[in-house]
Amino acid sequence: MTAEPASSAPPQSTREAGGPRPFNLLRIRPLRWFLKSRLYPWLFQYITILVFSFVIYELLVGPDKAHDNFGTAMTWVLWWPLIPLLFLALGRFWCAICPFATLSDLVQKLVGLNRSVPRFLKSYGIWIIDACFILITWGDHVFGIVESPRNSGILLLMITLGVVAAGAFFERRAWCRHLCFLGGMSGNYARTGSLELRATPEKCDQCRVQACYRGSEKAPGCPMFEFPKTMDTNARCNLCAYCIKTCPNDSIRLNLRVPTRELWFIRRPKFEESFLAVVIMGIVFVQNITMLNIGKEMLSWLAAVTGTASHFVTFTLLFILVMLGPILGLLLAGFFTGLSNRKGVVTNFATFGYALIPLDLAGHLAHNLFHLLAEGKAILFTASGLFGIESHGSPAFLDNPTIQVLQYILVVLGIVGSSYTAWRIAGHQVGNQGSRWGSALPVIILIAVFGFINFFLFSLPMEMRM
Amino acid sequence: MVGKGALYWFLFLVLVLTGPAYWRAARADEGMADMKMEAKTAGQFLVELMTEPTPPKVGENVVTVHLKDKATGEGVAKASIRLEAAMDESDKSMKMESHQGPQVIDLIAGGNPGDYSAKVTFSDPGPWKIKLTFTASGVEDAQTFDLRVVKSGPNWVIIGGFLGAILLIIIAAVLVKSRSKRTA
Repeated sequence: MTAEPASSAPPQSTREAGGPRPFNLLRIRPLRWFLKSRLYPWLFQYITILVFSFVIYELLVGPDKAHDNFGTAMTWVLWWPLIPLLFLALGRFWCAICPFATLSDLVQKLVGLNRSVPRFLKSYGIWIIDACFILITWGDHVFGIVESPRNSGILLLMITLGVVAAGAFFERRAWCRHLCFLGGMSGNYARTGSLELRATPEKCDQCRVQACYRGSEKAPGCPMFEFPKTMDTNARCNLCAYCIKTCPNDSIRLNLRVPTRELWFIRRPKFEESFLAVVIMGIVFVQNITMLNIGKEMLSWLAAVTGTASHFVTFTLLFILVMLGPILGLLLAGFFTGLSNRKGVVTNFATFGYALIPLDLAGHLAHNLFHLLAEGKAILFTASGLFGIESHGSPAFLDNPTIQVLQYILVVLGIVGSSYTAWRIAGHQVGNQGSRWGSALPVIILIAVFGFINFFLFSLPMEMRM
Repeated sequence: MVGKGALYWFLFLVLVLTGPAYWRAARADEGMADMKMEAKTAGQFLVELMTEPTPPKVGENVVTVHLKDKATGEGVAKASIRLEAAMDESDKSMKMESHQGPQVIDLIAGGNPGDYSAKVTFSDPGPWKIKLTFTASGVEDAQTFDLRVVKSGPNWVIIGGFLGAILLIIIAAVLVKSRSKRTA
């Protein structure tokens, strides 16, 4: 833990110059006490690791039909639908209490070599995350991960293997920061979060100990390799509160903010982060399409066109086509935006890709809302099955038309959030070059197209997971 | 140091508990890489066969057939499909004494046109032949699919393999750490 903070550049808050300082939740004394105490995050960590251990046991050893497996219900009907909601409300809070992170800490404590993270991982980790995300989604449809408890268990074992290796060899939470595919997605979604942890620049300027990064007897240094003084994004903060414990100057603030606000002030856009945003849009489309009859029709059409009935081939082709759609769409929007702001397609892709994140989140939430509300009782049914009690009946909490209305509302919110973000980014990034509308309009049209596709897909009857 | 000792004991227990199961199950799941959905053509039809779970396991499974018109890609409604399931006797590795006579089941039409399904019980692990005889639009045809039925229960090969790999990583880290301490 001897590495130096990555940067000492002045902090860039999402607060506009001269604007009011956001409400600091640490002014609430009981919350402040709890976050400073040893109870946080360990209390949550113990709970999640216990639940996770049982879930992985169920997936690997329990009933082999998804319909009967408590682990499947907990993972894909409860946890996976709720997690984007958590990112929206609390940023990467889940990452602080994630059982994999706890496992990494444990391995590191016991046998960790604490070596520096290789430069390769620092530079290309996000690309590995992008690739893993694409590969897992593809693998889910070719080999069956969600619908097979065993394969879900194997996926978790694969992640466990990576976590143990990263914890054994590298310092801090190298896996969470550079390799976790869920961390990559949560990094993007957390930018929309309504909670931000930031330092107070005036206090940090006087600080010489940098306990937030180096750690102290109260808590370790930032496990995510962040230096709160210069942190201007939620993407890599997991709200573990170690810096709140270690800071001798009470510099850390936990601010409430308007959801998506951080995206309006992206100053150092990265192509790979925008690429992940577009990839997630494609993944949401793939997940929707494959659960609809239209997906089967597309597969039949591809089988007829290619002359092969192999699901492996036809699905791979469908997957590539659907994933390429959003990428090409953003490149095209970037080209038209470039006509106004005189910037290159790649630059505009990297800049405006962030505008897709609210719609990504809305699409993801809307898709999984169906699983949560139409299959949610499966959690209760499978839980009672653990005690030998058979439960029958509809697994739905709400009827399909009601769920559809909720999905439409989410998509509308996503379109509004994304369009407004594109508008704000255009204002910031374009500066005096070209018109703001000229820059934002192609991206807003693209967002509307993606929104319309989401509307259409959610209007069709969807298959259940359980 | 208590924590370290506990970890070593845990790893030792994992080895002891999973080792025998690992070897016993080594041949049980050869068919894990089987298909998710298999499709074949028969005359003017495209026949897709899926099983739940995939791969099919010993015991009760749901076999679903999607019957489509090859030309239009549309599901063929109002077809009658008869399924015959029997162990593949041409496979020399199968236990001849364990197989039963073929099961003959008429498939029931599902919610979507062209979807037909039935519950099929596979009595033994190994290769099975599924013969589908169907009559649709006055045309009768047949197609045969090969399935590899695997044993039910946890896949100890995979579980053991992962635990073994995790153990190796930890041992490697311990060795490197102790060597670093010695040379320091």
